[in-house]
Amino acid sequence: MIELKNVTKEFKIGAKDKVTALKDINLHVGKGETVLLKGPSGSGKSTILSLIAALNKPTSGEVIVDGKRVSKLADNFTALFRRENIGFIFQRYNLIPTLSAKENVIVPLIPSNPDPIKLEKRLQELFSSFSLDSKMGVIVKNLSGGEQQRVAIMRSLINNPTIIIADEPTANLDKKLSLEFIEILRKLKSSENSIVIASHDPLFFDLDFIDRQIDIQNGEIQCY
Amino acid sequence: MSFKTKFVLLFILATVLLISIETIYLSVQDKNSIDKRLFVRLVTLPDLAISNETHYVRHRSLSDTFSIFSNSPTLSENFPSTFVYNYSEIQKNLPSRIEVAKQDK
Amino acid sequence: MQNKINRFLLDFSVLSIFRRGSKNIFIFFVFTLLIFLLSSILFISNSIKSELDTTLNELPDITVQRLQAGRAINMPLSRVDRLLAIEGVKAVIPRVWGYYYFANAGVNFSVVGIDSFEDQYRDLYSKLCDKFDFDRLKKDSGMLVGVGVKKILQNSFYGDYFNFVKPDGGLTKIKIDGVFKGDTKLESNDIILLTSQKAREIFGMNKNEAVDFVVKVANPTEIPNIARKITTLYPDSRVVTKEDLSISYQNLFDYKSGLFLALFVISAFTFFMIIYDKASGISSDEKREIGILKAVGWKIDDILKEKFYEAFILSFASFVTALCLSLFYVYFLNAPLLKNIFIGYSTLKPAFDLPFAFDFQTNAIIFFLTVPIYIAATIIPSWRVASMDADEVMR
Repeated sequence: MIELKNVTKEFKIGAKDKVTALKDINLHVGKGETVLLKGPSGSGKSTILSLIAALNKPTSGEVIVDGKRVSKLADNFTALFRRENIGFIFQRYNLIPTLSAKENVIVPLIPSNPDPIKLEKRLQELFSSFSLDSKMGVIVKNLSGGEQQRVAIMRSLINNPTIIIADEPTANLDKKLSLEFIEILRKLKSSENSIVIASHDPLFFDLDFIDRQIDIQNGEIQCY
Repeated sequence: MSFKTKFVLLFILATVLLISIETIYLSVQDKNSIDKRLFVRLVTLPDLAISNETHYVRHRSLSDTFSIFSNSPTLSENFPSTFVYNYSEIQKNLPSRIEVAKQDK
Repeated sequence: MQNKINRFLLDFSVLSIFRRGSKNIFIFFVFTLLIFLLSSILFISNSIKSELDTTLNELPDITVQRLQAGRAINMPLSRVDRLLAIEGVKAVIPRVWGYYYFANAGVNFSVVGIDSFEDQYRDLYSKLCDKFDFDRLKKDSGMLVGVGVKKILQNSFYGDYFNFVKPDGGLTKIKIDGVFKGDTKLESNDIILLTSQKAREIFGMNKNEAVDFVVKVANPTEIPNIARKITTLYPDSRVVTKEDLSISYQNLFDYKSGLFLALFVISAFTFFMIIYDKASGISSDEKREIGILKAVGWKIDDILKEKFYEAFILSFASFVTALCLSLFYVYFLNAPLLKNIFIGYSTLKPAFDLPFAFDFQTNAIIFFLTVPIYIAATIIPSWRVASMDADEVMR
């Protein structure tokens, strides 16, 4: 389902210097698999996630998702690819604070001009499954941390993605909220989608629903 | 659509409608221009009686260069009239007598 | 069938505008004010120009003045015959007119003499005047005055007559037998119409002199030729044709000088300051937002479309608001403060109504100089940011 073949990623700093974030990575994630990328900050976990989501292009190598060579796609096609296949949960949620919960959740679907009735139905489903029915119209900055987290997750699920990506999801959360998040992830696991989590939070290390743990150090995979 | 969007679109629509109404109302109004034409035919003088400070502002199309200095030797502007009404082009294009004499030959 | 216009995108754009509320309100306000000022001044000047244009055809074909040492002096009546002899000249009418300075009020009246108050023009005078008695006018050899003149004289306690001071110190008493109607205020406000004989008395002019001649021409296309013949015949004459008057009218409110230059320069400067600020880059907040939108699956086109809606709604709303206010201010309220710029501080101010003249061209120019430029200034930096990799932008 997700394949990284001999992927190297270098970032330019200034005119001459460059930093190698990933060195010749080979990675495979199957359909229905839940994979944890663990390693310290700066090890390259976030870079792998952004490559899978086609937010970046590798300096060399290929990224293939669901049979598509996303590393070779033009910008407009990668956007479409993300809209149809990826649900991204950002570290700091990246919600738009002055929009309501409902308005934030539908942001990924706006350009495709969805059918209002179907959209409303989907929103009702999502909000009730996350127990936020009463908070649909509330401005996001007035929601609690946990509620904002759930809105961010709903936004990543609105388009029924086949790949869910979470980048350090519990980095800014307390233990209670972290555990709540883990429970939500457990419910999301299904045979239809793959989940890739990047985290150095020890809470993730001994979870039963995680199929594989991949250790990343200094841009290289240590343990497979 | 959210309330704000509806408000903005309605505002723009209402303003455009108001402009159309104003324009139609004003163009339909009966402004009697016949009287004005009759008056000008009678009096035969050009230019409007808007500014009377000096001769060259009042009848700017008929005045000559020297009337500018009729009040004083200094070129004193009658602000704001001359600031708004520039001197007539005719004043500037006086043919010189030498030029006219040449044509004669 | 899918809607052509994406409601959700429109919603998002409008909410975007309100999100940066204070900055956008400021821009809206400044734009509206600028466009309001510009179009108001343009409306007023177009109004005055259209007033001039309606009467242009009634003006004489050719006016002949005499210059001595560059100054206008009186014409001897003996020249009439030689001018009449020119091929194509239908009539030559000597005019007696000039300015009478009324020291009490410090104003100039324009005094115009006509040959006589003829019976055949009785209807004409009745049409043009209020409170008018033609027979009395003929008997008294009185005068017809403009509204402004009447008012000034009343302020100086002259009721129904006026004493002109002649150049030799004597007085000429002339009765006021009619006042020109309010409709003609713009043309007649400072005018005094009387017989040429009385006018000559007031100016101390000789019987065989005229101030200038009006030449009527049979064939209008011959005017330039005849004008040339007149200047050849009398080299000291200055000939003003109807065409010259038309050009003179067009040059009124010339964009290259005076008020208009000042106004446009200031407006352009203010406007381009705003544009420069917009185009020089977008805030880090907005950059992050564009990054998020790309990350959740918005194409560059979608982002630009959204920015376009934002910019268009803001600038178009300013434009129509300004236009609407301007129309109301100029034509319904009669432009209270701005009109004074045009009228000046003469004591003999006509209180005139501005005739409606909607110049589509100038308003279109204002539109194209503001709205598309603002839209471009918004879209270009957004496009620059949107073209970068989303990852870079969000970092």
